[in-house]
Formats: sequence, structure tokens, C-alpha cells
Amino acid sequence: MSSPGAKLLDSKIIEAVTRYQDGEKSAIDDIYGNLLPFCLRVASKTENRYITIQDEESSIAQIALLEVFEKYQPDRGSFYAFLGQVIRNRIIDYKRKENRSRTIPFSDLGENRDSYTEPVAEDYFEKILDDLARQQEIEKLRNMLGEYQISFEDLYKVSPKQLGAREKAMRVARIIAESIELSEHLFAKKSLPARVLEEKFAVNHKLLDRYRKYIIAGVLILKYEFSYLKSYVLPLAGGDDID
Amino acid sequence: MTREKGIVLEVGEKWAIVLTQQGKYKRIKTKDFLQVGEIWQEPTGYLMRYALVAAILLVLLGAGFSFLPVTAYAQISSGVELGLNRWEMVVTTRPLNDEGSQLLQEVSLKGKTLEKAVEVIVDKTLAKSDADNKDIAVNVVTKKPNDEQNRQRMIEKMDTKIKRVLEQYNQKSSINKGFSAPEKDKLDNKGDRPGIKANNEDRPGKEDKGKPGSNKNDPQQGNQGNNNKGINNNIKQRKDKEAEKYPPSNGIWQNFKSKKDADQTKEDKEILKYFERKEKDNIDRAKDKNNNGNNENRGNNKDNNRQNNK
Repeated sequence: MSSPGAKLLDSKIIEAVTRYQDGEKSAIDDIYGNLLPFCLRVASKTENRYITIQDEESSIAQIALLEVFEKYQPDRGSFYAFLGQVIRNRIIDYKRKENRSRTIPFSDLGENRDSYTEPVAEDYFEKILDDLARQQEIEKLRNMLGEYQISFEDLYKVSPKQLGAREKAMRVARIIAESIELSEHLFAKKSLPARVLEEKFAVNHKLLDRYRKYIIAGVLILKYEFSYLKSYVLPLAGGDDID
Repeated sequence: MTREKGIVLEVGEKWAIVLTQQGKYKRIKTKDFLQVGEIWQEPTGYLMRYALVAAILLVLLGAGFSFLPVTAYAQISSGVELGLNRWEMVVTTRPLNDEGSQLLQEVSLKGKTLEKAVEVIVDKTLAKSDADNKDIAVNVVTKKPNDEQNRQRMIEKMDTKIKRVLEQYNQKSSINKGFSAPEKDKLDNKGDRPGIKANNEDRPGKEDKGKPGSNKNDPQQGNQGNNNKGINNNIKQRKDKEAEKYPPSNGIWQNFKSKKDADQTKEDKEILKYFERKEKDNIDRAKDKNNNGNNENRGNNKDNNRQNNK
């Protein structure tokens, strides 16, 4: 379920942990940057609010990371599950202490957020990893779209409302994605190869006009490594994956 | 009720942009905490609430007019029993005889006010059988045993309505029959109004006299008897004067006056006023010519009025 990047990281993680526990403390530096997003994400989910690296909770999470590097043994299960659980516990403890220091004793009242006392589901941390992978894809897509002067806001505005229209548009996107010539045109000129599409593929001129941005976004998703996003878009384009 | 799913692309203050499973980019409003890359699902809360509201509405509409328990039953001899609620609207109907069940099949009375339902029933009854022989009796049974006041009131209400319907029905049939010769002399071409008959003979047949709880007719007849004497005197005198130009016979006028005011429709009242005005004109005009006659007329009219208003 995890993207290829994460898997690679697993073996890399175990390697780094082993070195760390053998005494090579700098071994953690190699993958620290890779692990940090996960740590912050777990902290965010625990408190049900956005946690940045500047927040107090970020320090707590990082301390927890070190602790895990010290203690983790592969036979204890998934590294991420372990790391995630430790961070979560520390954050919960921190929150409880914080509440106690205030005079209002609402720490024992039911929270209307992610329930602290409930144990998490088995795939809880795996899902967080998936979320992170998607987030990375989306970041990449956002940057690519930027080159074409397209934002996500643009996309929701021009999204065809009818399913049929979306299918038509995605099929055009597929045609472009599958054709080297047309893709090149799009990439170089940052615009749709309208004439060829109209003449050679009998595409409606209005369709191209109205849904230009939607089609371009579709081409990018289909053509590049957007595995998660692709699954949401491919059915419209005709099902089979594009090489 | 499948919930829409999507990948969160961008997040803002209480909103987010998602790419749905159907390939649509959508901007959603949300109170939840969402992060980019998460999978979003349409909250069931909304769907459930809308579904609930829709269900309630359907039930209400489907149930039709079964609101509120019956507090009284109104029975009409045409063969129908109406179950009425607090606001005197029909919530149940029950046939009392064959005619009644046929009537109920023809029209739906549920949801109608008592008056409207009575109107419809009487209309249909008259239209059907030989109208001259038809007697219409009413009765009301209330759930609360000692609510006699209400009961009487409802009977009166139905009574009034029936009378009015009968009148309108008579008027209609009069148009069909046309005017008879003696009456034509009385009426002037300009002033008369078709359909209003001076002749009372057509009417009594419909109205029941002696039965308990039925339409009360007697006072009306009595008044007319008294008035006719005065009328004839007036008419004679008028014929000699310019007053002859002006419309009709006091016969009609007296008919209106003899009814209870409640029975008069707006139309009736207008006609009444018109005649009153004309009557006044008549008196004034003829004053100069024949004082005695007029005074006598005035006296007669006043007497008649006094009698009527009693």
C-alpha cells in the first residue's frame, strides 16, 4: 500500500537504526528529514489541529523519535507503527499535563476531538503514510500546474459538472498523453494543440475552449507519476493505464 | 445514499478543494480538520437529515387529511356523515345510504370546511334527483355529550348554507323557466334583473316545514303574507305617477327584507340598496303631486318595515 519511496525507506530505516544503536549517532541524520513529516502529521492528527515545526509539540515529537531510535527492534512490528504510537502517547501526556496546570479541570471531560483514550485502529499509521504520499504527489502536481498558470482553484471552477462532459474531456487528455507529438506541443508551448486535435481527432472546438485547464491537468496526471491521483481520473479516460 | 469521496488538494479556513472519485474538482465547506493528501468523505449527517425531513414530508402528504381526531359528526339526509375536527373541517366521511355512498365516490370531501362540504353535498343532491320532492334534514352529534351550544351552532351553520344553496339553485331553475306574463307587467325592461323572481311559488317545495332540526321556513311565509297587502296599495298608487318609470315591484324588495340579514349575499344587499334609493326617489318625486297618497305609502312602508324587522 505504501508508495515505492516509503518502502525503500523501511530498509534504510532499519539500517540506520542498527547503526545508531551500535553507537553511530549521526546515522539518524540521513533519514531525519524523511521522517519528520510523518512525526508532525501524527502530532497533528492527535491534537486535531495543524502542527508546524515551530510548535512545542514538534519538539516533543522529535524527542520521541530519538527515543524510538534507541529502543526499536524489528521484531516489535512496523517501525512507523511504533514511532507513531510513541509520538501519540507523548503528545497525549503533554496535553494532560498542560490541562492540569490550568485551574480549569477539563482534562477529564470528554474531548470532542480524536479521542485520546481510545486505542488506534491497526492501519491508523499506515493510512497516515498514504496521506503523506498523496500529499507529496499533490505538491508535485501543484508545481507543475503552476508552470501552466493553473491553480487548484481554477480547476474547481472549470470542472465540468456533468459526468459525460468530464469523460469527453478526459478522453482528449488521454489522446494527448498517449501521443508524444501532442505532449511535446503542450509542454513546449504551454497550450493545447488545438488545431491538430480538431482536425485529426475531430474534437469539438468548444470542448477545448471551455475545459482547457481541466484537460491540461488531466494530461499531467495521466502522464506522470501520480499513482493516487491517477486512480481517480483514469476511469473517466477509459480505464486502461497509460505506459 | 453513497457518500462522495475525494482527495484533499488544498485546505483553507473551513473549506477545502478535493478531487472526487468521479474526476470532479470540488470546493467543499467543512468544519473538520483536513490536511492535504487526506481522503475526504461526504459527511453522512447532511444526507441523514435531509432524508429524515423528506421522509417526514412524505408521511404527512401521504397521510392525506387525517389530521386531528374527530370531535363531532354531522349527518345529512342526503346520506352522508361527516366527521369533523376541532376546526370544523372534514376528516372522515361515511355513507348512510346508497345515495350517500355514490355521492362520496363522486367527490372527495376530506379537507373541506363544513360549509363547503355541505354546499357540495346539497348541490349534488339537487342536481341528481327530482329536486322538488327533496327534503334535506341535518343533524349533528358531538363527542362531548353536553356541548349543546356548539351543536346548535353547527346545525344553524349547515342550515344557513343549505338555504343559500337552495336559493341559488332556485334562481338557476328560474332562468330556465322564464318569466310568466303577469309578472312581466310589473317589471320594467330597463330596471329588472333577470333571475330574481317576484313569485314565491317556486320556492316552498324545496323547503321542509315540519320536521325537527330542519330548515325553518314559517316566519318567512308569514312575513310575506303581511307584506303583500301593503305592497298592492303601493303599487296601485305608483302606477299613476312618474314612479312608474322606476323599477320593480316591491314584491321582490320585500322578499329580500323578509330574510334574515345573514342570508343575504353581497349581491342581494346591493340590489336592496338600489331599490331603497329608488324608493326614496319615488317618494320625493311624487310628493308634490299627491301628498296624501305618498304619506299613505310611507306609512304603509314603515309599517311593513316594522313588521319585518321584528
